[in-house]
Amino acid sequence: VRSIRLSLVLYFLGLVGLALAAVSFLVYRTTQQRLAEHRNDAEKLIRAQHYDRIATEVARLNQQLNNDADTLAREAQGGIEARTASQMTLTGFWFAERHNTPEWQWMDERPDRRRPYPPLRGRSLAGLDALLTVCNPLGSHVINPFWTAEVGSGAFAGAWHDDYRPEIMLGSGDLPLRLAQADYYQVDSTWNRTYRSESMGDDAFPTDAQSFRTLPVYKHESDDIELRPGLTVRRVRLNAPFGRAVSWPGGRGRFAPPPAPGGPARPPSARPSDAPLQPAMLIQCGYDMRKVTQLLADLEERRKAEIAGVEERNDTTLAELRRHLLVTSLATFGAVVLGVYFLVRLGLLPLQRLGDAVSRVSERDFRLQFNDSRLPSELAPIVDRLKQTLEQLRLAFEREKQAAADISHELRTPVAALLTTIEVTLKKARRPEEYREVLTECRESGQQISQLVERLLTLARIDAGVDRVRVEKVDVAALAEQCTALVRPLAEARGLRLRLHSEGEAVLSADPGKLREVLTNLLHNAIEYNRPEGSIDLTVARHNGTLRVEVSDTGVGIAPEARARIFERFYRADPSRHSDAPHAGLGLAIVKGYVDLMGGSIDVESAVGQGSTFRVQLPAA
Amino acid sequence: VRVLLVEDHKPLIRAIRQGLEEEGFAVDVAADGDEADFKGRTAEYDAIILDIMLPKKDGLTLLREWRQSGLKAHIIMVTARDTLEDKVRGLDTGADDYLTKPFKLEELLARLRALIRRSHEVKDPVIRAHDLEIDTATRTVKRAGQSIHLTPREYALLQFLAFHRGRVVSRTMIWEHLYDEHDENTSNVVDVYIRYLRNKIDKGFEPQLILTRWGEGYLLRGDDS
Repeated sequence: VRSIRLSLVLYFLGLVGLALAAVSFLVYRTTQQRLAEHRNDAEKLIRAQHYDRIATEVARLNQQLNNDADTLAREAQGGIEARTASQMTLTGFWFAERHNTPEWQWMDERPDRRRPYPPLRGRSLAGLDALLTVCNPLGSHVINPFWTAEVGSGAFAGAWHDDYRPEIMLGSGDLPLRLAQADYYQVDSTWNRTYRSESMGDDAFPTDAQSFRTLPVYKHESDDIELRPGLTVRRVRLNAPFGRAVSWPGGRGRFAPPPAPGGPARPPSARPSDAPLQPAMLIQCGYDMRKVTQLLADLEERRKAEIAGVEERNDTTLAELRRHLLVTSLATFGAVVLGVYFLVRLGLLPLQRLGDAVSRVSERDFRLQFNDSRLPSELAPIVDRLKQTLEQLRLAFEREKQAAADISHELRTPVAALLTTIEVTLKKARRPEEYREVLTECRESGQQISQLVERLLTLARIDAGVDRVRVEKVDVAALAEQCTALVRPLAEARGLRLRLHSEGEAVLSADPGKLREVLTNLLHNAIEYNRPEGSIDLTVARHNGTLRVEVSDTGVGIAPEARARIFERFYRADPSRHSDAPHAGLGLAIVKGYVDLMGGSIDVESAVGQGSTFRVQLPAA
Repeated sequence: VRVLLVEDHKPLIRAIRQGLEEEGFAVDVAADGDEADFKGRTAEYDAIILDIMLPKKDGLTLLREWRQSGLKAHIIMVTARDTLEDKVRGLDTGADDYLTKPFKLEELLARLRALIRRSHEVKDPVIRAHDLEIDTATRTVKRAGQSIHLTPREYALLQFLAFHRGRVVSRTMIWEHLYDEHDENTSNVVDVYIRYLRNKIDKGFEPQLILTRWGEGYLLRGDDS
């Protein structure tokens, strides 16, 4: 048993479930895509930041390396500045000592100043001695290369200075032990002396004398170099003058100080390669490239961590969304379940009321007790139809009841008459004539009952459909003639004229027995309901492919309201005539039943007081 | 006792009429509703036997109209309608009794007798006056223990007097209740039957029970008179 409510609820819930699932899916899907886009954007951003960071970090490293080179230069120059004066003095001493000038004698009194003369780069000492001898009266300082460098100029001054200036060395404390970034450093001087950091060990940065000429001063040159197999170093080379306060031939005044760390790079001052090589130092410092690798690895790690963070946040968001969607969907679904249950219940209420109303219908009360005012339009046709059907049923029931009452009346009255007559007669002894009379009466009653029963049976057979039509060729004109002959004595006994009009033979396929019954019934009616001295006309004629049989009388006629009902059973247009005749209002019902069986039709025309015409039309097959 | 038989089936009319008349009832017949209406209103009947299915006007309508206009006669419906519904409707419309066709004449007669008794407020079917006993059920009469044979007419007259015993009944009353519409109203018919009755009831007995009030009518002596 399927319940509409259950079905509707289930269908609706199915739909709602689908809709919820679709919406949830869409929302989830969209969010997922948005989050994926967000993740991609974030990843791009992170990557850009990553590269930026790498660049910044590497730049910072390199800058610090440059700064380290500058620091080395500054520190070295600082040391050299401090030492240059003593070198000048030592040089003067040395010349004084060599030529025993008064200066030397004065100076000789201070033995702490006596110290070995530093090695000269110089050429032949003979030239120096000759020059000293020449210049002695002027004072030995005249040929002091430092002094020459101060005042002199030109190629000679330069060569002089180059050749006879003693080497200026860096002390052990002149170079810093610790630098910001540089792991390794090496300082080469133009005297071909090399200073290295302890971390260098046996390794060395390659160098050559040309570098002093090719590298611009105070210009950082950066490159990667393999210090030893397996150790790559980012190196910075810086060509720096030996001292800031020291000048030499060809120089124009004192050197400007080196640039402050991180300051703007000074434009390189190129010197011609043939110019005398000024005292300078080549600073090389570098850091282990593994630092960069490590830095890159760290940054890569950081990048991955950031991306992972974004993904984790996305995952959290999605999980939260899933939970929200689930909770919302379940809540909605629950609410819809309740709502639909009550809505469907509400919607089906009219149906239920209709059902109740229908179940209240009984054989006693065929009315459908249903309040039409709140009837849904869907139910209106059903209710209308139901009402019509019930009304038809009620009428049928009424007819049935009426028919039962009619039948019982029509049967019971003659039976009662019969029984009562017999009873009365048997009460006491009667004369033979009286018995005869009573018996005659009883026979009449019996015949009447028998006829009635026959007619009822006939109708019952028509109703049950067991009355088959036995078709054969019939000449209706001849049949009409026979029927007329049959009823003529009855008609004449009442002073009626009976006439037959026919156009010769009228053959058709019909059931002669039923046709005869139809004609005799109509003729009997015409006789019975005629006026005295009236007439009856029986007409047989072909008309439009049908055979028409008409029975006209000049009787009382049938009132219009009765015309529709005269073919009903037990209906008598004029009940007062009933007791004279054996008819019980069944004749015309049988006539109609037979005519219908034979596929024909019957109707009646009548004018009250003038007569009636019954017209039977049969298919003239 | 005068009865109106309203029925449209002629063989049945004949049978009932004969049966009733042989029991001493005066029977008038109406074969359709209009005739019944007319007769019911113009004559005074002790009982009316009424069919329902009648030409022109049906029995129930007649009954209703009669009761509305105050008709007092006892009405017994004799009809082919036998459902409970029909019986209830008939009795509720004002019928005193209801009998369905086919019926036994004896039953109809017994019910009529009961109705008549009821109309005279008598419960005991045996009416007693001095030493006279009238058994209305078996229609036998005894005086001082001796059975007396009476013709139906004579019995009807005696019963009528007995129902009104101690009271004077006029010749007209007697006529109206004992004779039907077809009897010739000759003025001395009642007197003649009174004489017959006296011969059978009072002759040889004391006291005389049927008394004559000159100019008024007759009466059956009551117990107190």
